[in-house]
Amino acid sequence: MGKTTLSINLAHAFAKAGVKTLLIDADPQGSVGLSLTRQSRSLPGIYDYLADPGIALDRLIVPTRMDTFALVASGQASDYEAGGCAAGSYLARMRMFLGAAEALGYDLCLIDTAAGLFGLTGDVIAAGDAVVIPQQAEPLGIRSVPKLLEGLNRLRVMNPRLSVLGVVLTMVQHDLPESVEAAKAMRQLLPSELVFDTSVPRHGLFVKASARGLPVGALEDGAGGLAVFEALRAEVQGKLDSRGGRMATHGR
Amino acid sequence: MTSYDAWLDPQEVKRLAGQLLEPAPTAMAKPPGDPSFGADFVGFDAEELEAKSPAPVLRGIDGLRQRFAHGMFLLDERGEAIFAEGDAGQLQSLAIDFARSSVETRRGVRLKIDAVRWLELVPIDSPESRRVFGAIVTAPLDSATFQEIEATLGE
Repeated sequence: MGKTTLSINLAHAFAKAGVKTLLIDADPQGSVGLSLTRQSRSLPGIYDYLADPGIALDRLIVPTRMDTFALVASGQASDYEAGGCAAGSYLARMRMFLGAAEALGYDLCLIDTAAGLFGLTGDVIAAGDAVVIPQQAEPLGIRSVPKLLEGLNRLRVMNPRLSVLGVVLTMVQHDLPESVEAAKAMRQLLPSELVFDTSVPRHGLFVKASARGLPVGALEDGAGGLAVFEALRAEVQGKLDSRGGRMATHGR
Repeated sequence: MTSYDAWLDPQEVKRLAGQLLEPAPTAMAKPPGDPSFGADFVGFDAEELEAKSPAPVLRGIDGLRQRFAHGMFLLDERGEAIFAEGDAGQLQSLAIDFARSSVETRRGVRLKIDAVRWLELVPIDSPESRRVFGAIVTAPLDSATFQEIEATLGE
């Protein structure tokens, strides 16, 4: 389980708590859309919005069965068709997107980005209010932490009000010593304010939920998964309360 | 000492992490309001803008009109069109986005807008203002054309 599962389930937890939530798939692989909607291959989405200033946000919104939960797919246009993506290319347009979402009444925009801090991902983070970093509890992830921190510091120069809410450890395997050690090392390396207390275990429930195109909390036997993400939501909410509410979950 | 110490410097990680928890540096941040214009932009003077005649600019576009038959426009400091011709009108808001973004390049920005066409955005700086020229082209502009545009519109 990585960033897409985290994004879907965290967004669902917020929506379930009554927060009007817009989940945006800004990963060109379109994983959120592929996870939740069968039609995602043909839906217009965020990349189309970025490429065409004539597209209004309300044309892109895909409702769900929950009044408080809606999606924006990644769309049909690609980075290439939008003319490549130097840093800053989409910054103003992303801000416009978030402003439009706010005007439509969304309390929270949760954006699932591609991995890395370059191109559109950098612009998404630079346009947002806060960032959550899913990090798999594995050795390679720990080694890349300095690069991640350097990149986030650079983005905070572009967006001084960006709050780095912290790292969420994902795919934690309590029966695998390397995974446990990686999770422990992350907590030792970073200040406690930058690592969420809640971590997300590796579990078959997430695969099952993905197969059915549902958030884990919507499964009949998903109470355990729901509890994990409700705890994470409460932590995120606590951090956001004093900082505003448009968030990116950044892929690692 | 953890097994990861050989792969990274824990003190450096703590320093970088600590920076994230501090207020962000603002020295390099552009002031709100007019992020589209560089540090040399001195602000708007309504009377001065009204007093300016567009005639010199418009005199210069005949040559460009032949070259950019697919469409072209010129935006003023406020993102409003001084002129717009052809199919370029709907792309003006995109140009305004760029003009207001933090992108700073010497030769402007090139956007692929469909399978065969590009939108070229060229900042035209003068002592008084920064304007943005946009043109729809089927091939990237060469250096000589950039110079011609700058010479024509930068007067």
